[in-house]
Amino acid sequence: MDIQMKRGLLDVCVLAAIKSEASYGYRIIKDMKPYIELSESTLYTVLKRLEAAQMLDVRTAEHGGRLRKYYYITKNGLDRIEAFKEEWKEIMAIHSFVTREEAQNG
Amino acid sequence: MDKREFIEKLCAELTGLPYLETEERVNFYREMIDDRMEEGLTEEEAVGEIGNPADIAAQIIAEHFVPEEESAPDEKTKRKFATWEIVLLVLGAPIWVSLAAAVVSVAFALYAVIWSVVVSLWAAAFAAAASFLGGLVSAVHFAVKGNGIQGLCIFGCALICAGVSILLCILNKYVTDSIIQLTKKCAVSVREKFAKRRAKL
Repeated sequence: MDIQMKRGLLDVCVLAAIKSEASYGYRIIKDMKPYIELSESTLYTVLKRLEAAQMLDVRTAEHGGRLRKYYYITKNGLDRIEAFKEEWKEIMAIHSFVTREEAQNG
Repeated sequence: MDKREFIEKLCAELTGLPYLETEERVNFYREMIDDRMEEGLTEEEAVGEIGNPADIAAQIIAEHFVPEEESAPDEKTKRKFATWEIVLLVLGAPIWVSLAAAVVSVAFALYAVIWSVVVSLWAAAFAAAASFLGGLVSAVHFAVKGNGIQGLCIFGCALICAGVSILLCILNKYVTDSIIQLTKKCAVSVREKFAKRRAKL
């Protein structure tokens, strides 16, 4: 997949993983696994990017005698998911256009 | 490989990265390993799932030195900004250079004041210790000459000096250590700021 496209999709996927309730690193990876494989270092980069864009908040909480970082979605993050849904309609339109051309040529 | 070994290898490979970033990254992986172990994996299995520390470090370093957010519009605004910024910087030089110099010298003076307090505290501690030794010598001197009571009195004073000296040494060590720690922290945060700015440019 194109890197730029994958980056955008990963951002939205991670936002979706924390949309209904706050989550932590390993659980985000597990929740996304059936849909998209994500390495730890990639997740780190995505989380940093989303935090910088103020699409999520990070809070550290104690869990079982150690610290764990929890990620909370923000208004910006929710807006991003909604925008993605709209963008996807455009992409689907482009997809049908691209495949139609192929069918004509082939 | 166990968790400690993994973390040590990762840290060793990440030298050259800003301290805070290394720490944040390492904590992230530590959390990932702990969470896997909580799910019932053994330490070895958990570390195995994360991957090879050398590969991970190589990826982190590649990301760090090639920031991904390099888009064309950003560069344009940067160049436009630079033109009038340079003019302003040159025209305003007499003001901002002297202001910056003043800020730097005030900061330096404040720092020197802090250290001079420390130096005087240590001097007081040494003075007390010296008084103890001097008192001891004269106490012996008086005792030998037959002035037992005066000798005892001076000996008591010498002991007080010794006590003061010991207390001051403990206090001074604490103060000195905390100032050194504070200096290190400040230095690290200043370096971080510059490193971040350089990474952005």
